[in-house]
Amino acid sequence: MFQELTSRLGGALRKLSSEERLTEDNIRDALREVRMALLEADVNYGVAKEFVARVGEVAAGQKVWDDLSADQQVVKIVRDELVELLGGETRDLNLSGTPLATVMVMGLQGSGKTTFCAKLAHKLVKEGRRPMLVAADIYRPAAIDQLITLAEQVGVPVHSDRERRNAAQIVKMGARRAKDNDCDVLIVDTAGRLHIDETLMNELGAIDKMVAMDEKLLVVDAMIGQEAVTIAQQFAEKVGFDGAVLTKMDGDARGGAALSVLKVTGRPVKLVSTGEKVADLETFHPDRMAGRILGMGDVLSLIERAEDSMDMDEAEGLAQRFLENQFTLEDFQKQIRQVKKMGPLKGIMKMMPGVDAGMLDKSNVDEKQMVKVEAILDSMTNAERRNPDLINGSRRKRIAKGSGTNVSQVNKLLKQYRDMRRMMRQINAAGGLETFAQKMLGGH
Amino acid sequence: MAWGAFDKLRKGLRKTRDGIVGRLGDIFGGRVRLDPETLDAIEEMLISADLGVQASLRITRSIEKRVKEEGGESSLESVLEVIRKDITATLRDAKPRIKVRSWDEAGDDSPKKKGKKGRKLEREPETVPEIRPGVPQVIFVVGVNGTGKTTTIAKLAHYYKQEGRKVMVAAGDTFRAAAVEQLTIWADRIGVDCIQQGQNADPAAVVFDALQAAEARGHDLVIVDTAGRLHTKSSLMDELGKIARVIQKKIGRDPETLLVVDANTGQNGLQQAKIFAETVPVDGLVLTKLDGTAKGGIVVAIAETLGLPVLWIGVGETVEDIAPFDPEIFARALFSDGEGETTTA
Repeated sequence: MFQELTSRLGGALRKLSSEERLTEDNIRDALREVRMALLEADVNYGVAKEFVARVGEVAAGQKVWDDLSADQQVVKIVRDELVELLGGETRDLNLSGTPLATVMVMGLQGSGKTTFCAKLAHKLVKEGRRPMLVAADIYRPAAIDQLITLAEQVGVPVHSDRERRNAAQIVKMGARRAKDNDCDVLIVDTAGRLHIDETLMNELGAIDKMVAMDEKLLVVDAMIGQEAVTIAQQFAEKVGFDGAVLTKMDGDARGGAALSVLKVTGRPVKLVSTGEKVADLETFHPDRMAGRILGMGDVLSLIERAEDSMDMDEAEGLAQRFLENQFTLEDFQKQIRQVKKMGPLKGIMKMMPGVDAGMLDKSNVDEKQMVKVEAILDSMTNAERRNPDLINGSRRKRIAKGSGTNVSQVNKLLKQYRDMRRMMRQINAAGGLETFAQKMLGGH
Repeated sequence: MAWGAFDKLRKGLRKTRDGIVGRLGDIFGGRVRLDPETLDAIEEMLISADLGVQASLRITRSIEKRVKEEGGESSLESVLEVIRKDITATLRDAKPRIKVRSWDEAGDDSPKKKGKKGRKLEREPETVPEIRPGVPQVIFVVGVNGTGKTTTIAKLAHYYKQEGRKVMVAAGDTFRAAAVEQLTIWADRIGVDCIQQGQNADPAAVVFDALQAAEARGHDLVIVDTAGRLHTKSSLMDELGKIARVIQKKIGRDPETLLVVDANTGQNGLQQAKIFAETVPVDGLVLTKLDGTAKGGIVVAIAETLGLPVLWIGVGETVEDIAPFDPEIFARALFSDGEGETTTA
């Protein structure tokens, strides 16, 4: 929906040549498109309006650059301004409190507080901290059970009290128990509440008064609409908070709310939650978020994930063998395993520029296909993988049987491999990749 | 009972209304002149209600037309009337237009299915049977995470129990920690049966089990809970389709499928509704959490583009806080200047 911002701007700015300056007049249409796009991404109306005015000011008077088309130039300004507005840099949690750092997690019903608490505990454990969770949601049926179950998965102790009806008291007891048990971070899971519910908002204040909180985090659903601003304002006024957490970022919501919350309350987004597993919690990166709001992909996260999960030496070795045309099925098997380590293909593709979830649905990326290919490769012997010419008819039958596929699928894979080898041979015969590319493209 | 909920809705939305309509009234003192600033303010009012860019622009244009017809100046009330009429009509005329992607397309092309059973499946959609005695009616509740499915199910179970139905709930959310406990506690409080197999059980098996039990024990309504899932997770959506097929096979017709939408949802709600409706035969929406300051305008965009009507609204945390949806009351609660409301409240 939003990823065509560049092309939308292209239409509005086509007339401009590089001789001209951007003026308020000739970018008016472009700015209207920017505003629409922001509103469709759920950026608050007022925030969008102000932002567009700012972009207009920055753009006005700039000369159209030679190396960028006018639309690209405007997109660049929009992106830069957006990064600026989103806080410029990454902010860490303040967990310096000694002997016990305290975190209170709050938000509306269903925003994902309890799951986030477990994820935060998991992250802190990995960083060498000793967190304790406190179940301070005394209202929702089974909320305590939910936290206990999640805490078990993460391997973190929980303080809960099913008898007491006073959240602040429970938190106080939790803090005492945490110190006794040599824990150094307290994470308080509070009940979901409406920002207009005075009684419950006062409860948060009472907790904070009883046990001073180092870090008060507001959990915000990435799918939230225009109300994000009102909600954040109310929490800021009535309880105060130090940072926001965006949840459900693994969906396809643009998350314009992040921008609105920050602009209106001045509180940065600190963490984003990106999946169903406890490990799916990431630090917030304003530049990547800007790209997401603009539908420009998340190349940095992609690279980072690749670096995290890939063995770089092995990857380089593979590339070298590929170029020297010594790439065997054994190498192919290694490659597939590396890609798999990065997570589901769809998740990877979603981070690429210009790919949105809608396209992914249509493209029908077939994870099962990759599983099949891997099974076929796994069913070969080492000798066969190193020298695929060995694979005759009866070996094919055996491989098909072993991998639960059929002979035609084995044949298809072998054919693809041979085609690839042939192409590499041509490349090498043509004098290497560079020359080959030049010939192919008919370039100079 | 329903009146109680509407009263709550009206009170809840009053905060909203005072905010958006009140400001417009302040600026223009009850009269609306046709200038860019006014149109801007109207557009802001509509977009702030999460109606979406498309619907907001369309409504703003029809207001522009109306004001022109009235000689360039018109009352705030007649502007609000245009908005209310438009929204009411959009919501009232909504008819599902989305088709569930055929099950054959969705996979499972193993040849043995072409046998008797396969053919029977293909035939069924045309010969939708009337409600058969002994076969329970099924309400299938779906949605993304955190919209309030489980609470909605408790409310619906209570509502139908009051109506004299023999209700059973099925704990099909076997993924979220303690979701089964949550539903069990609700079922106990309301006094309806609950079928569950604990966490991590196969949800389709839980549902099958529940339908079996309902038939045996003579329940006439089974309400099925499902795990919240983002519409972008194709494997989880496939699972949802499978559960729907299990129900369809067992009772011989599609379950009445309700998509639960949080009133706070922004424009992503459209994409949610579209993909859910392509996966399971969604009959309509339940709009939840209308007791805050959220307006739930996204349902207008959903009705306009996908034809999905709103069937229920949820306005609070007790089991009584649900009511059948009425487009006119909703539109009035959102966009009126307060006059005439005091007498009905």
